[in-house]
Parts: sequence; C-alpha cells; structure tokens
Amino acid sequence: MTIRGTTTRCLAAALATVALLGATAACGGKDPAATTSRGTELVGVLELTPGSVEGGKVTGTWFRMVQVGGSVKSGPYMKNADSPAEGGEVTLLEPGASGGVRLGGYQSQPRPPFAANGDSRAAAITKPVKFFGVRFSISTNPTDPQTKTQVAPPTVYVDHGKLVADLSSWGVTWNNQVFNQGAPKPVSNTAAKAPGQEKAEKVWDWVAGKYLESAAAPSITGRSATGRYDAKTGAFVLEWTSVIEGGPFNRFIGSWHLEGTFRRSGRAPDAS
Amino acid sequence: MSLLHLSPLELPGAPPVARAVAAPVRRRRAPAVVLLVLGVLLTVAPVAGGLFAKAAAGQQLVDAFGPHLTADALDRYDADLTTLRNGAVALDAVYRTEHVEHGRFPGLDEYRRKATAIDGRATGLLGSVRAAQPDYLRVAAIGGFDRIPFLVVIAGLAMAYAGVLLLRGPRRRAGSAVLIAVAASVALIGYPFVSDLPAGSHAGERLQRALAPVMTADAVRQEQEDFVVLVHAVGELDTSFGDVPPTGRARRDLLALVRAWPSVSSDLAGLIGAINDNLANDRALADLDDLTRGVGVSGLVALPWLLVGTGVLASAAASTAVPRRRRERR
Repeated sequence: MTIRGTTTRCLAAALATVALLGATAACGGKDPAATTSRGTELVGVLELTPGSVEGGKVTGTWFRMVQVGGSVKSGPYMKNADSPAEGGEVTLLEPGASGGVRLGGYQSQPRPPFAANGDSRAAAITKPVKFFGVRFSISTNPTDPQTKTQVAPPTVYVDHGKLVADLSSWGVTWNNQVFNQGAPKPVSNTAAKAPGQEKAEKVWDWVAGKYLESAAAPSITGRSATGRYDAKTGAFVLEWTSVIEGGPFNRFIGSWHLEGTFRRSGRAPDAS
Repeated sequence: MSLLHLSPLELPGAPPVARAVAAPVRRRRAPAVVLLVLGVLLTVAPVAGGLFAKAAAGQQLVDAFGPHLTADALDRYDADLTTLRNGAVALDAVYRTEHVEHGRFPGLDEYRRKATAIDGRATGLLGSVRAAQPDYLRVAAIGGFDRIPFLVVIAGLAMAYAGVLLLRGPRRRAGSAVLIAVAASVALIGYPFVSDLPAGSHAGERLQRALAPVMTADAVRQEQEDFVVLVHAVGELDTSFGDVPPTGRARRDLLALVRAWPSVSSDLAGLIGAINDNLANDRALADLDDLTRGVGVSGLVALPWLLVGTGVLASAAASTAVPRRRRERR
C-alpha cells in the first residue's frame, strides 16, 4: 500500500514536471535564433549605416538602378540628379525611424502610401529620398503590393559568417508606383483570373496538400540576397540585384547594398 | 318409340372483343439529339478554347484602363504634353540666348535632340488613347463580360441534360426536359440584349484594332526610353541647370516643367505601366477575336450572334421535342 502510494506520487510529480516544462516552452514562444540547415536565423534589426561618399568611394547603404538591357557591372545606370554620389548613378540611403530592417517581421507601408505629390510616406526602414524629383522609400508587406503574392518577412540566416536572406517582401514605393525589389522574387499573382478561380485554386491547393501530398507551387523564385556577417561586432553587408517585373520600369534592375550592424532583439509579434 | 335425335347445333363464331388501344407515344429523337449535341458543344468549347481565361483577360484589361480613360485623365495627359512641349521650346531658346555649350548638360542635350520625336510619339499615343475612349466606354458598359463563359457552359449543361432526358428518361419527365432546354435557350438569346453585348463587342473589336499599334512590347520599350530621356533632362533642369540664368517666358516654362514633373512622370509611368501590364491581356483578347477569323468574321463581333443563334436553334429543337401521341386512324 505504501509502495503503491509512493509510486503514484512519483508518477504524478513526473507528469507535473513534464506538463510544467511544456507550458513554459509554450509561453516562451519561438526560439529567437532558430538553427536550420541554412544556418542560424538572425532575429532583430539590421541597423543601417547611412550611405556616404568618402574619398570618392561610396560606403554605407545605397541603391542604384540599371537601365533596360544594361548590366549591373557596367550599366548604363539611371542618373539620379538628386544624388551627389557617382554623378547620380548611386543613390545614398539613410536609416528610417526603425533604424533599419526588422528581421522576422514586416514594416508595412502606411496608408495612404503616397503623399499628394507622389512622395513615398514609408519611413521605417529608410528615410524617403529624392529620386528624379520624387521621394522613394522601402517597406516590407505580408502581401507584396505589386505582385499581390503573400511573402515571408525579411529573414536572414548566418552560416560561418556568410549571410543568406529572403528579402522577397522588399517593396519600393515611388510616385504612385509600387515595385517589388526583393530577392528572391515573388511569383506574380496578377494574371487575369475568371470569377471564382482564385478561391477554387486555394481549395485545390489545400486538397492537394492534404490528400495528394503535393507541394504547393512555389511563391518565390530566383536568387536570395547574400552577404557577410561578423558575429563579434555585428557588422554586416547584404547585397542583391532584383529585376523589376511589370509596370513602367519593366526589366530595369535594382542593385542594393545594405551595410550596418545587426542588433539582436525579440521576434516581431506579427511575424508568427 | 322413336328417339328424339338432336343434331349438333352449329353456332357462329363469336366476334372478336374489340379493345380500345392507346395511340403509341412517339419519342422524337432528332430534336433530342440536336439538344444533346448543342449542349456538349457549349460545355466543351469554352473550356477547350480557353474562353474563361480570354474573357477574364478582357475584363482585366478593361478594368486596368478605366482610370486612364476618364475625361479628367485625358485632359491631364494633354496638359502634361503641353508642359513638355513648352519646356522643350523654352530649353531651345535658353540654349540659344545663353550660348550653352554642347556637353555641359548631357541629359538636356539628348532631350533637345529627341524632343520632337518624343513629342510626336507621345502625341500619337495619347491620340490613339483619346480616339479609343468612346469605344472603351461601350466595352466597359457590357455587364459581366468575364461571366459569359459561365453562362455558355451552364446553358450547355442544361441542354445536354434535357437531351439525355428526352432520349432516355421516363416519358413523364419529357415536359420538364423541354422546359429546361427552353430556359437555357432564353438565357442565351436574352443575355446579349440585356447586357448590350452586340454594340459592346463591335466596339471591343474596333478598340482592339485601334490600340494594337500601342499595345506591343516594342512600343513600351520606346516609351521607357523616352521616359529615361525625360527623367534625366528634368533632373538636370532641377539641379545643375540652375547655374544658367534663363529669363522671361523661357524661365517660366522651364520652372513649370520642373514643378509639374512629379505629376507628369506619375501620369506617364501609370499609363506606360498599364500598357505593359496588359500586353498579355490584349493578346488574349486578340486571340478571342481571331477565333472565327477563319470564316472571315471577327470573333468579338460574332460572339453575341453565336449566342443568339445557338439559343434560337436550341429553342426550336426543344419546341419540337415535346412527345405527342399519334393520331388514331379512323
């Protein structure tokens, strides 16, 4: 009787411990720095160093646009008369209200996204900067405004000092126009659809995924952004190119260079 | 004693019992087969011919151009062109009066070289767009263009069902089968007139032809090049050209161009973007128009009359498909 009672108490205590551990883990949410085959995920903010020209060399964070038919290495580039860097071929960027890019969460465009004169109002990632007379800026949105595709928030993995990033949600707003400038690129979801087709496709995707074990069609394509990271100092560089697909600047290429310091912090509440 | 001998009685044969026989109900096979064939054709053809995608593309094109074909938008585009034209004239004047040397402002030099051609192309583009506006409005007035394939397929299914019912179903359901076929026919005949499809599809065919030279990848590419020339020129006007002191009207016109540039570039970008993003939709609409080109008729123009014709044929078949008793011979 005594032995049985002791056993029961021990079992109850073990179960309670397991339950408590489970509850604690659940309350803790996701691991802020999950490690996968791609490396360790960085969760926090990529604080941007402002772009500048020092001794004729461009440093910090910047962007440039290649004309249709040109190449990233040799141009021809759009010459932004409002930029002093490299004869306007490079536009310098400054960190916005959030200091830079939040990883694992979105920094969506405000509503309305544009001022009356076409200036972009998004000011969290970078300060709106003049580009041919009109201010442009950047935002990251759950549904990309140009391609209408659902995209992941900016996600960066580090593996032995090398960065690989999903910046498919990187969207530019300029003069009442929206351009996806992400890497990889979202697959466009703007093709004409018959009434009800979109819902039917969603139902089919669900059925195919659940009963046919078929993977959903990929929503992103192309290369990821890449870079390097110094774990001791937090210094990072992230670079990518992105072809504009659709709209007035179809086939123009954006070349992006982000530089700064990674600051670790909690995962954004809207990211999960 | 004589015995009474009875001879056998010969009775005449009884006449046959006459029973009233019901006149046989005759199934009319031909109208039922016509309904079945029409039904299958109406169901399969829109799917096989990609009508759903083409109609959706046409609807998306119509929706996308809506904001660019309002009277306000067209007036704004004209004002933009006037601003650019005045700016180009003013720039020439300043170059002459101020003896601006070639090469000092490469963006403005290029604009001066190309201004006449750019103006010609932009004027042509806006002329095409403005000329297309009345037809566009008629096309936009068609109610539920992208739902036409659904109407056709549903009518086809109804006719096929009625045909099968008339051929194989119980005789008591023949009446309802005919009613179903008639209802489908009425829908096909009535929709074009309710939605003003004949006028709209004629306008659509004209619109498609009128915008064909504009709706090409080459035209978009040229517009992009012109935009780049303009954007570089205005950029220099707004910055480094400030060193050159133009005066009088030329100064006013150049300042007006610089001030209006955000609005002008937004208009141009929006229009070029709408054209570029609807090239595939325009091709789909052209394919729809070409569907019956083989018999020398525009597919868009023929569409409403195909619906009406099919509806009339089906209703005629349905009306003759009602089962009737054979008349008794007297």
